[in-house]
Amino acid sequence: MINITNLEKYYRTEEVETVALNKLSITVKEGEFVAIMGPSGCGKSTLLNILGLLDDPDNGSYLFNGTEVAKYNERKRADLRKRNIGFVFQSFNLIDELTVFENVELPLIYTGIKGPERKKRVEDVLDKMQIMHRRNHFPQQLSGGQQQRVAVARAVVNNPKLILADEPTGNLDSSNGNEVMQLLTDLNEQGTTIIMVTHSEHDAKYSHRIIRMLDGQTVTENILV
Amino acid sequence: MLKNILLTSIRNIFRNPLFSFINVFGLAVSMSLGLLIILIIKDQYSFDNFHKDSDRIFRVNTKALRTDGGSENYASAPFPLGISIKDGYSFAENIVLINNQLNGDAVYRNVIVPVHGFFADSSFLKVFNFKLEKGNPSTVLNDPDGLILTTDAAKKIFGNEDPMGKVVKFDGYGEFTVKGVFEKLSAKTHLDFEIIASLGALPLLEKQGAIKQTLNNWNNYYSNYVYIKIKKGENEKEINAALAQISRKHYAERKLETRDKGYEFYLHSLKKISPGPILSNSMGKALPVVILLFLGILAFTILLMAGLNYTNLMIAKSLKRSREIGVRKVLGATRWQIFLQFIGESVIFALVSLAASYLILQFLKTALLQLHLVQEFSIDLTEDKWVYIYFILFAISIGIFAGLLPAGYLSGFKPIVVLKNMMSKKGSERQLLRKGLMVVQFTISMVFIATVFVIFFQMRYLMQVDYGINDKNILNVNLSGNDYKKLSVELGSVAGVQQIGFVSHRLGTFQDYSDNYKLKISDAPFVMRDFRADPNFISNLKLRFAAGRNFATDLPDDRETEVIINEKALGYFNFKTADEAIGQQIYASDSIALSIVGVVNDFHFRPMNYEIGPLAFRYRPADFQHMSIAFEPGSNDKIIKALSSIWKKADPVHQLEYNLMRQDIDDAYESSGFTDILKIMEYVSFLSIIIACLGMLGMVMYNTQLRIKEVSIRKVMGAGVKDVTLLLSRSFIWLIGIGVAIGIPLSYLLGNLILQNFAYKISCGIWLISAGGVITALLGLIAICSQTIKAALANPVKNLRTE
Repeated sequence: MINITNLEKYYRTEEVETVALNKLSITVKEGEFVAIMGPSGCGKSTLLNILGLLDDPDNGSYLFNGTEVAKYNERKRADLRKRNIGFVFQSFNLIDELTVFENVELPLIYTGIKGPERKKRVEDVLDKMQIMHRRNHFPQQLSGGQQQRVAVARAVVNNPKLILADEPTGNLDSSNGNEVMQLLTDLNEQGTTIIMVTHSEHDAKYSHRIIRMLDGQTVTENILV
Repeated sequence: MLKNILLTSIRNIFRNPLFSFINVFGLAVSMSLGLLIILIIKDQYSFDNFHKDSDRIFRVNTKALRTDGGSENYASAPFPLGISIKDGYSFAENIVLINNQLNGDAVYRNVIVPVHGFFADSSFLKVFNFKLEKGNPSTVLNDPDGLILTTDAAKKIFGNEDPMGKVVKFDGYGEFTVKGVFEKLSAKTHLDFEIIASLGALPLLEKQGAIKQTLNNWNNYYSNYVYIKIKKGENEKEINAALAQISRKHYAERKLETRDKGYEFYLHSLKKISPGPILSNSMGKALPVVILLFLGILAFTILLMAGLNYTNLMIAKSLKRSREIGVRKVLGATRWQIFLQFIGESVIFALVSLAASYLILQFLKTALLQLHLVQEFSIDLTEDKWVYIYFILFAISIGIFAGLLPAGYLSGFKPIVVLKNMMSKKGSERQLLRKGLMVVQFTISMVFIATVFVIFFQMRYLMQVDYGINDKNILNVNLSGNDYKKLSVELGSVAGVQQIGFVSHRLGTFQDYSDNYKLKISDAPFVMRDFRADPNFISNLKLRFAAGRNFATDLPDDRETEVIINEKALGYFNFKTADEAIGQQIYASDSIALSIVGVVNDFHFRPMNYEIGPLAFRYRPADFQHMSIAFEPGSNDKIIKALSSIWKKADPVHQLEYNLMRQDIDDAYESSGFTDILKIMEYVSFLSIIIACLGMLGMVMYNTQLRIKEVSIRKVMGAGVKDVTLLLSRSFIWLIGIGVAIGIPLSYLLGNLILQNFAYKISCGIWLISAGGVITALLGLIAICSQTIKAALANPVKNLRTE
């Protein structure tokens, strides 16, 4: 599903150039659950952003389902993103001005799904995430765990092929964290490919494979299943 | 999508009450001005919309070319011009000739009613679509005694009687028979009349001397209007060329008026008459287009400032909204969708502001109706469904305009940048543009405030200036055609009345009489202003004589013999001293020989817009139109009471019109629109400074947000409140300083431009302009310090922790 080769990414300030990804190559197969680990600044979030088409690499190749997407323009990226990729962030990134229902509905609006169909799909996913009773609440009225469940619901409502999760349990206590990890595992078992950046060895154990990074490169890969 | 935009916008309004207030308030106050202008424009463009083929109807205007190189445009034209077109050219489908000399009182049995109107030929009802309630439109003006009345005039004269066939007498014009009554007209027209009499009456009236020479007089371009309905396909340019040909042909050998060297005639489309350019002898009550333009520019400036505020504040808010934009983009929103969302939000803001501005408009309307301008031009501010549609379209346009820049800016955010909090640097790059906008706002505010100062102090100067006459304890009363001698006798016995004088027109106002004067009969004449007055009038003014005396008290009423001039006039007659002039004979109106009996010291006899020019006082009782009653101080109430009671008996038809002389002089400035301009400018300045300060407030809030971490660190390192306040305020104080610095020369120029309209004026000195600058700067400083001091007082630990 994902095949990146010799990916390079630099961050430049006026005087300093920092290498975030250094000729990085990895492959992720459809249906895999991959955890990316490494110390802060090793490039794992940069990798996730490039995989999610939020950022573009300076060099290298990124094949998504066999199509080169590294040089896609903004419009093509947005299109590919909304149809194929769901995101789960450490800080949930729910829109404060929208209710739970409206937050989850948002990707469907941008995909152009009609109202009745939207309603059905949002209710289905909220049901599945056991958050239906909070559908009319605003994010700040929810606990951290509930917010992350809404974020996961929003990530999966469009039935993406790939979910990118950036430290999804980073802001949660262990009980809520485990719940979210279980949700992701369930999604993976239903066929969704998941790539997760995490600092937590415990969370990483939910994955099939752990890629460890250092200084923008892969250092080891552990296959767990 | 729309629902999502709507929900986000409304929730955002409530979630950020201060920002929302600044935006809504700024937009609402400025939009209220816009709404008012829409109402005025709609009213002013509603003139003469009901005539069929109005695109083919034109009025022929006259451009009188003066011997001094100047020119003056008239809405009127010579009567024979219309006849020449009718007889010699084929471009006209129809020609309407109108003569404006029909004025005075209509008499029916014992009812005497003042009415106004004009003489018109039978084409009038063919070209203009005024409908008759009674009478046959094709014959009603055929007979020389034909008369049509409006329903209101018919009601005034005949009450509930059927007016058709009744005979009405007009003083000096004879009898006319009512042959038609107009339907009540709900639309507006520049053709201002209550009655229309047949033009067929003119030859006889002219023969009798009841009206000025008109029918064959190419030099009378004051009393007539020529309207042409041109044939389909005729070209305006070619017709203007034909009019030039007529002018050349008929004026080549003709002796013109002394001040004129020629005339040009040109077509003026009916659609462009109201509103239109300022023309002498204009009929009707439409605002000149230049005033509409002035109001429009003011409203646009204020709207621009409020729009800039919205732009600035929305961009300032971008820090708070950036995460939301990032998330939306991550979820698949395109830049266009985000752009539309922010345009949508801006439109919703504008619509909310519209509701608030509509409320403000109701107050504004009440205030506006007090303005002389509105009363003078009968501006109708009623609202209808079209007005509401215009209001909504206006609000939507404002929303789109104000939202363009923020929408473009915010929709360009890269999700990765905003989600990773890498915003601040990007934001500061944009500050230069926004700082520039801020400077523009403060410059505009400063110019407005300084202009108000200039107008205010000039106004005060005009109200306090010594005209060189006694203008206190004098009552001006309009004679309204009454016998001045009779009134004089009746009023003379009222306690408190010291002396009653008579004069042709009110001194110190814009009313103006002039005539041709020369020393010898063979000399070339010059134009000099004059007052037709009696000796008591001159004595009431307590004018000082440089030489000679006042008029003799036993002058004959039917023959002029004496004249009094001012010192300024001496030079025009080549007299070296006032004494030299006494006893000399001069000629007025080309041939009336007058002996100079007195020379008065110069004094202001016209508003201060004009320099003191040469002046003559002539004794011509036939021209007396006003009484000048000098009274004992404190007795004016008693006199007015007695005057009212005497007036009621002497003249039951006309209303008593009186005013204190000083008030008349002051009112002249009001009627010229100067006071209105001051009031309008005061409001506009108030709006502009409020908007600029609100904008500054938002900008400072934004900047303080950006630098809160830096401020906290500085405080932890030992910086005091004063240091931090200065640190945060410095750059904004500079902005105000730059705004004021640019504003000073601009205000100076504008102030002097305004004062150019006055021959006598205050000096538009640096202190006056600087006062505007100081007020602008002070208000701006309050806006800045309200935020920076708050930030400086905040607990640094809290900010560092949350950061």
